[in-house]
Amino acid sequence: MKKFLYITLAMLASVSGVMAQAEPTWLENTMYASGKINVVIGVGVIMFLVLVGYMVSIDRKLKKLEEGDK
Amino acid sequence: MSHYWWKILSAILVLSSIVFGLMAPLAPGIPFATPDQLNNGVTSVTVVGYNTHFAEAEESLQVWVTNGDATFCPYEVAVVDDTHLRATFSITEELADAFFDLYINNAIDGTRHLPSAFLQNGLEVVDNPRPTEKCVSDLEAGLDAYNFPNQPILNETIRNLLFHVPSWFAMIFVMFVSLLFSIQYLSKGDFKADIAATSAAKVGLIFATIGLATGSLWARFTWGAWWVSDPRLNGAAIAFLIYLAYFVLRSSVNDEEKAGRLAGVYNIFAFVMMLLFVMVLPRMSESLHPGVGGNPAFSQYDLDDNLRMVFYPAVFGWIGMAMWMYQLQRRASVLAYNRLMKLNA
Repeated sequence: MKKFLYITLAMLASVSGVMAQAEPTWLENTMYASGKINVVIGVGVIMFLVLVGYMVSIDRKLKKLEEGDK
Repeated sequence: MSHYWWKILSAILVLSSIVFGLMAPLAPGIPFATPDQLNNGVTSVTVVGYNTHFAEAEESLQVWVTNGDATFCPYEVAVVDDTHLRATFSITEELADAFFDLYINNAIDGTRHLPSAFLQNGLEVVDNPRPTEKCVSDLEAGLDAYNFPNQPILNETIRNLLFHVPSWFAMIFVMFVSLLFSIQYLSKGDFKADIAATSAAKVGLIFATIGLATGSLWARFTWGAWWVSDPRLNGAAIAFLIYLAYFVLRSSVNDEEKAGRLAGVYNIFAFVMMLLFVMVLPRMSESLHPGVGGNPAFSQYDLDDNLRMVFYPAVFGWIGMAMWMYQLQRRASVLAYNRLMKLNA
């Protein structure tokens, strides 16, 4: 299963490498529009996601402690 | 409540930096002009503006290009709308430089320019070209408004200064806290200090992850690749890996006390290396990264006052948030440690 995942990822990476030469993708069109403001939005989204991920990890840690109390 | 004041303060600082950072308009600018060549003879180019007022301030509009000390004006300018105009140049003179800088001035926007807007094509580049007539006069100062600088290439992404950069500041700050606790652990042997050091390093790693991921996204749409081999980028990645190794080292030693002491010593080394790779090395070499070395995109108004007014609160706010996260992490870890001790007793 893991092997399959890696192969798929490698294929995706090579495909995206080829695509970079071709026409701008929808992602590029979105990101380059309006002075690249969507890159800033993307940066905000990444920050939010990482911080939520951190909150989930703290939540799990506390949950484990609570379960030990019972 | 009294314990919460700095948390509330940093949350307010972060929130206001997000709101102001996204609401403040960008100064007028010229992102690009097409085609990007001026031929020997007549060339018509379309100039694209951003937040500009070409049509609204058409009476005072002046367009020109410079090449070395020489100035050339178009013989015809047709304004399409506020952000588009067509200019037709006729240039046959000898040039001092292969590139032309484009300038636009009007009563609302003031003077805006795009460095190296055009490459010469078919013209002669010589050492001492004949001087040209001055064709630009009575430049308008433009209206004063609160806005962020509109840098070529960066454009709206200059706002990332309020997100990407403070996360690195926060990372360095909590890593410093981690270092202090490591030193305390090594000198006093207090296990709580070791827990505090680990918690701070964990939060620092989270902010490093944010810094790397946001930087990578920005690089993709600025330099065209998710990662480029640049001293600043590679330095940050190495710093990240050094701290990753801190956790690997910790978890690979079974004896808690030995692990704590090893990790404490390593942490001192890691902090010094991190400062070297993040703060010192990129400054000693050429880098494309904004704000580093002799990068032309940032040298003119490296940090202007309007940006600074939002940037500093953002830095303090994010440092506060990082300390808050560190505190939560430490409290949870201390609880877990106490429970372990109780179970073992």
